[in-house]
Amino acid sequence: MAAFSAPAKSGFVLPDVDRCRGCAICALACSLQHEGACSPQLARLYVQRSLLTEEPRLAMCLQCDWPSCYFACPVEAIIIDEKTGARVILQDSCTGCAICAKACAANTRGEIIRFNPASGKYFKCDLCLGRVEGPACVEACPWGALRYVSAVQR
Amino acid sequence: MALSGRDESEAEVEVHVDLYGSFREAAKTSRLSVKLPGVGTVRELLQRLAAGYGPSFQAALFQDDGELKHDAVLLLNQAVLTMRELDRALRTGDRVTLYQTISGG
Amino acid sequence: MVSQYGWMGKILRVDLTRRLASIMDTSRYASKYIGGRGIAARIAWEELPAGTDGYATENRLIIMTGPLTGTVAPSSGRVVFCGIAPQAYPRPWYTRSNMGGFFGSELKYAGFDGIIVVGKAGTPTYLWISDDEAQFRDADKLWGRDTFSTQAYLVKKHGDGTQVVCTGPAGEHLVRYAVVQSGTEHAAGQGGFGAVMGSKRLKAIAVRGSQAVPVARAEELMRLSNTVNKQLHKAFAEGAAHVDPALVSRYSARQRACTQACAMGCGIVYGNVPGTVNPGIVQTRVQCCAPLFSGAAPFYDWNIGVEPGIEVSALTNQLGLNHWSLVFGLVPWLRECHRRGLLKDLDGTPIDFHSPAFWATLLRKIAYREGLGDKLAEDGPRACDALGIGKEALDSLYPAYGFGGHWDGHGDKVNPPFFPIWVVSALQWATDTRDPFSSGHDYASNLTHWSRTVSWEKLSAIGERLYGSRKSVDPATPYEWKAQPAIETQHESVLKDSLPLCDSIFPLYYTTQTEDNYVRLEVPGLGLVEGKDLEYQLYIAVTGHDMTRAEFRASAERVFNLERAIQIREYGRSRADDEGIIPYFETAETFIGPSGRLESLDRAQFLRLLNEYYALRGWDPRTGRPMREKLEALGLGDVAAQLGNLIS
Repeated sequence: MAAFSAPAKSGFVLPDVDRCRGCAICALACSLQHEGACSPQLARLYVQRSLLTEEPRLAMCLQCDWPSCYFACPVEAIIIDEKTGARVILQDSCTGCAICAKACAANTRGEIIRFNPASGKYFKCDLCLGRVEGPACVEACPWGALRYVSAVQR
Repeated sequence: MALSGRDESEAEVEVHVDLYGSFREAAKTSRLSVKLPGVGTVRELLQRLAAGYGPSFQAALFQDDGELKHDAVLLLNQAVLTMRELDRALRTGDRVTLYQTISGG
Repeated sequence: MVSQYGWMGKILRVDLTRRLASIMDTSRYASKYIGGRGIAARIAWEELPAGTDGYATENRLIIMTGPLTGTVAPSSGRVVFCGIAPQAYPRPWYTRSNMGGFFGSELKYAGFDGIIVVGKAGTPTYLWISDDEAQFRDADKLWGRDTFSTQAYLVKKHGDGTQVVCTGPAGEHLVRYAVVQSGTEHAAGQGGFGAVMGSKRLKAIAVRGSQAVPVARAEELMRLSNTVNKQLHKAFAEGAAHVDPALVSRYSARQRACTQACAMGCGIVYGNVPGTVNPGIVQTRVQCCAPLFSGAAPFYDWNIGVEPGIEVSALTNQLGLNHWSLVFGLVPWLRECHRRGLLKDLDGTPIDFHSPAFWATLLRKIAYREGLGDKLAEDGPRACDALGIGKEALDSLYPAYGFGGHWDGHGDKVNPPFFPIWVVSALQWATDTRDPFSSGHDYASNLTHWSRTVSWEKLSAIGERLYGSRKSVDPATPYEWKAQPAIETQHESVLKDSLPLCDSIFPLYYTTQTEDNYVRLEVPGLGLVEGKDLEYQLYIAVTGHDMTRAEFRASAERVFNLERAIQIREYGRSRADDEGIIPYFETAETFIGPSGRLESLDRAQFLRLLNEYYALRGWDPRTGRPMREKLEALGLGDVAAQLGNLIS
């Protein structure tokens, strides 16, 4: 169990749903960045559109000031990234117990902390761990629907 | 409906304008006659229309940099107009048509 | 397997008669035929029995994605539908149709590159495809439903994220221009493949998957895609589907991506349009030619208004009818017949294209084959034969093979290519099996659009880059150097239908961002990439396939020749058939270009151009058929052998 004090704040990716056109490029860029393959199921963000109305829905980790996932993890597999402040699930340490997924208040549909059946582990947005160009999704969105908000700005 | 801002006694040309698609929606009319001063050009006609029918009309016709929008078609009688012909002088009875192209989907 | 990247490795084979599903290895076809239209052509060559009709049990509905589908490659989410097309005239024959939407990408996520459907179900059936498996399900609750309610049912049943293709009442009633539909407007439009589904009692295919499309060079793909998308948005910053704020507030209109990884956003989705003909709210995407229902252009000037236009568009979608065939073919023909007094009324209903209620009546009669609708469901050419009226009007609207005009300067009276741009269109039409323009726009539409702001001098210089000579573009040389751009455009079309990539974006040749208006993109890690190299770069970034550029272009040529071989084997296709296109183009064009007068095709010059075209293709100019050595050089030796003395 992590020491019970507030971790450093984090930047996060802020979606603008009014600009979103439902192309899913963000999700494909994310999974490509992290897994070397394109799959909405392996994206660290969630995008879905309704088949007939084509209304897109986005769900993204807000990298909470008081991250329930971080505190809930029984094996300290979640760390605070020094560069960005991102709350990161270390894949090597994760046991797949799902406690973080249940602890996250925004995760009722399993869209923020997601499960990878192939690895048996949970994964979440890690802000691309301080990638030089910034988060891959922000860079890739053609419509400017995603914006990186730094820890200072939040 | 006619748009005219000049003294009727000056030499002028009167042209027909047919509007379709977004142009018709912006102007709320599909046919009109426009009177222009004697050396009225296509460009002046378009400026007169944009001034009369507002930013929606302007946005359907021109990009921000002033070039014709990709899908905007401008016909003078039956000829497809290019940017270079916008300064062509109009003659009475000329018909200018504005609409948008269509592609496969 | 040529590569473990891009392709998922499995093609689903479905026999509806015996309710059996099996799996075929994609690697049989991947390296030589890429995907989509290419792989479908090879399957058709190998499997489609001679003389198969569009509605026959033995017809295949070949549904095929490409290695790029499901990845972040720009606009790659597309999918093709191929088989014997009921719409083709005078006889249904093998051709293709293309769809955007999100079905193709979902099929890849379920582990499949494509589906081959054969046979005929005993009772209405739908397929439910999930990760690596397919099930036959009863569609008794779906048969008869419109396409919207069919999909709503299937999404509710199988969960959010389920993608569907289906056929509507039009397909169930074997209307020759019934579409395969997904969402409210994504459709494989041309060919009548919705009727092929209907003839097989296949109401729908629903799919949901959770797998990933593996990518060979992730970083490279990401950089290429980002660069292309940024370029698009610079070029079309104020352009494509800029939604008028008035529409947004009044009708809840939104710009939406048309396929997976699409950065163009053609088309607008309307959420709240009041019905005119029927009470209630109309919700539908409006894209491509659908605005023409509102009377958005000269000639197509049945002005029923914006709201009824959207409602009629939605009704067409619900019934599963092809917009293009209606607006560019059947409706103008019907209107002309009425004007000339050749057709009194529609089973007693006065013919009035300014009346939304008339449109609704017409569409329903067609979809359900009621009264005169039964003849109109056969599309213009067959209706003309059956009713014995309106041949002159018909010939002015339908260039060839049963398909309405498109970017040809004649029957398509909204898109304004002018002489000599459409000389290349004529060559494209001459040697195809359907309207070439759904993925063959580039030469005609690029030059029509760009010539309005860029000089012919500069465009000709780009023409030299792309096709080998300034004459390929210069209006001063209308019949010279036109075969090269025609061939190049045809091959580009094959690539877009096979990789796949969207015709609205590719090829990316022209820009305002460079001095000479030619696209060169600085791609981090790759350096300067020319516009004409983008498709190749995307293909090798996804698949890692160590294929040269020449081999890549040769794949397109291989597929085009294979499609020609199918035409020769099945239908005796020859030069005489290609020349059939000439009378249509010998009429006066619709729009005046740089010559200052209405031009028409010069037969003698065009025949010389055809000679040139065949020679460049390595086809015998006497017969219009590939020479044996050309097929062998393309790795189609077995095809050459089968054709025997049909070729020289």
